[in-house]
Amino acid sequence: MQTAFRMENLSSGYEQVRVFEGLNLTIEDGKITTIIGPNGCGKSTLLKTIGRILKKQQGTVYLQDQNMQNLSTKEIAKKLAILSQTPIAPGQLKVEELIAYGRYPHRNNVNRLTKKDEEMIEWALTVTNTNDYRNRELGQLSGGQRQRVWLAMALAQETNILLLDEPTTYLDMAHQLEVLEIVKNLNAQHSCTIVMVLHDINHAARYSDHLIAMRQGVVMKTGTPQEILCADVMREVFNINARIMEDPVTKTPVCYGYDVLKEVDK
Amino acid sequence: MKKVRKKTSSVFVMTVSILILFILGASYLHMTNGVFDMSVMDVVKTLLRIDPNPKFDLVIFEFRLPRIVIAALVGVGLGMAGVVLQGITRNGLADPGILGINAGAGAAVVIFMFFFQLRLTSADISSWLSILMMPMFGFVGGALAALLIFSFAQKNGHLDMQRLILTGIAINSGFGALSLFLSLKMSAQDFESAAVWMAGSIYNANWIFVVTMLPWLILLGFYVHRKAYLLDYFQLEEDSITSLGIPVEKEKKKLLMASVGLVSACVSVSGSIGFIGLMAPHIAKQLVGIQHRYVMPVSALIGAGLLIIADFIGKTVFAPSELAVGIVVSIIGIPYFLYLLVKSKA
Repeated sequence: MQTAFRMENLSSGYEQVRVFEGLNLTIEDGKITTIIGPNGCGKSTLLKTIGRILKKQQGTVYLQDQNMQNLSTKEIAKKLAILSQTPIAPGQLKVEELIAYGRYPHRNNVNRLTKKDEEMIEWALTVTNTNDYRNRELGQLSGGQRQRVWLAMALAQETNILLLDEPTTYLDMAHQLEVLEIVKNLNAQHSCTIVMVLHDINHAARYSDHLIAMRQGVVMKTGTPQEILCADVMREVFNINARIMEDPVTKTPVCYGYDVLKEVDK
Repeated sequence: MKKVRKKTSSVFVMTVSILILFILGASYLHMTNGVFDMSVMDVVKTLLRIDPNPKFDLVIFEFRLPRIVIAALVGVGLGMAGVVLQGITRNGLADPGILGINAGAGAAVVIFMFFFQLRLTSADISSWLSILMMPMFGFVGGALAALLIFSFAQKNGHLDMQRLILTGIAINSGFGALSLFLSLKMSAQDFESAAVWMAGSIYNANWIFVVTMLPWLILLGFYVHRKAYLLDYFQLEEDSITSLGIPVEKEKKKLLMASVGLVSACVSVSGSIGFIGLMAPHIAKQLVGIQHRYVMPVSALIGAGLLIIADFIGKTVFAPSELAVGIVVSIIGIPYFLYLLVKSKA
């Protein structure tokens, strides 16, 4: 089976700081994979590195079995879209215009949108439920609306793979689920491969097929939500004593309470 | 979506037509007024070559027309360079002056005057060469300053925009100090011509200047205009631009180089004229919105119009003595700059 990403001996970080080293990992095609871990564990760094936003320091990343180094940034942009944690755009920009930016890698004539471009923009507006305010300026939108518009721009890029860096940050509970439902729907109906970073382990467990648990630049464990969201792994990764049960409705594990581990417990 | 675009483009066409009318009007004022006043008929007749009068010919073709053309060309160059610089630094207060090109060119001209002026006047060098010597030196100095700033602003092969602005300020004052130091050691006469040049003046414009700067302006102007759409994307933060498949670093460097070329070409003939590159893009954005393929030509036209008007004011208000156009622009520009600062804080 084809893999979305295969990392071999991958090292990355910022300037003098190595965040992770010698990483070997595969991410499956057509699945939702979520990277979890405490602050500073390198989950965002990993996502940015495989999304080529951050230059890797060593090793190889294969994107759908092709060495990413041999692909131009525009070719990569046709295969994967990455939504960063705090995207910025001028407030006067219209929703539609921002979403049209997502068509960049497919456009030959930069001044005119083709029929295909228009179709993809319409589709992105529909999927993300942003059609109602397509003519508004970004500055007039709420945080939840804006996040969905950014998601729509990434979708307009028409890629098989979507990387999302904490797509639910700063959103209230209802809007968090809204975004995750869109993501799930994309995976189920359009067989989009999703790799994301989430802070909320309950959301991660509920919406992912696979979890990657990281701590201090090391992948501690990978597996299904049931395999990862258990007391042992939570203790190792987050340094907490987690109380876990199965949500009777969604049938996924949830952490309903936890305590921070004291020195004695270790 | 189509409706929105149609509206923007009709606003664009309107704006461009009004600006062209404004430029023609300003040129008309500039051409008819001055120490030697001429009637409309005289100007039209001279331009159309109907019973040519050598006196009018001299005033129009040797003095006023090249001056207007230079003002327009310099305005276009600075207006475009300003759009590019504000776009790639994502800083609305960026101005071609921050690249230190003005100061570098100024220092080079002072050095040139300090060391070579005497020999130039005594030696029998063809007029072409002696006219061009100063701008050539200006160009080299400007390019050198830009090169210095590039190399200091680079960190791990990454061009950091914050560093670029800071380095620009440092290099600017460094070259400024050098110019001042040298000019204090000059003869009074040399000092005066250096000071006039540095203040930004085009009163000594001639067709040779036009011919030397035109190719740069056409070449780089077209390039920058073709790439204007990229500046739309540069309004996003760097991660999003990369995600869209735009080679950010490479494109930024190319655009920066192009604007260095534009500014150097302008500075070399007109001396240091500030604030046009700052104001024109802002006014343009207020007129036609934030799509850069519209902003770019509009900013170029505004730059041209502003400079022609500023030169006209400098020429007539204190007649018979003249005020350097750069000074007029600064007098208008500084309050506007402060206004922008106050507004951006709010």
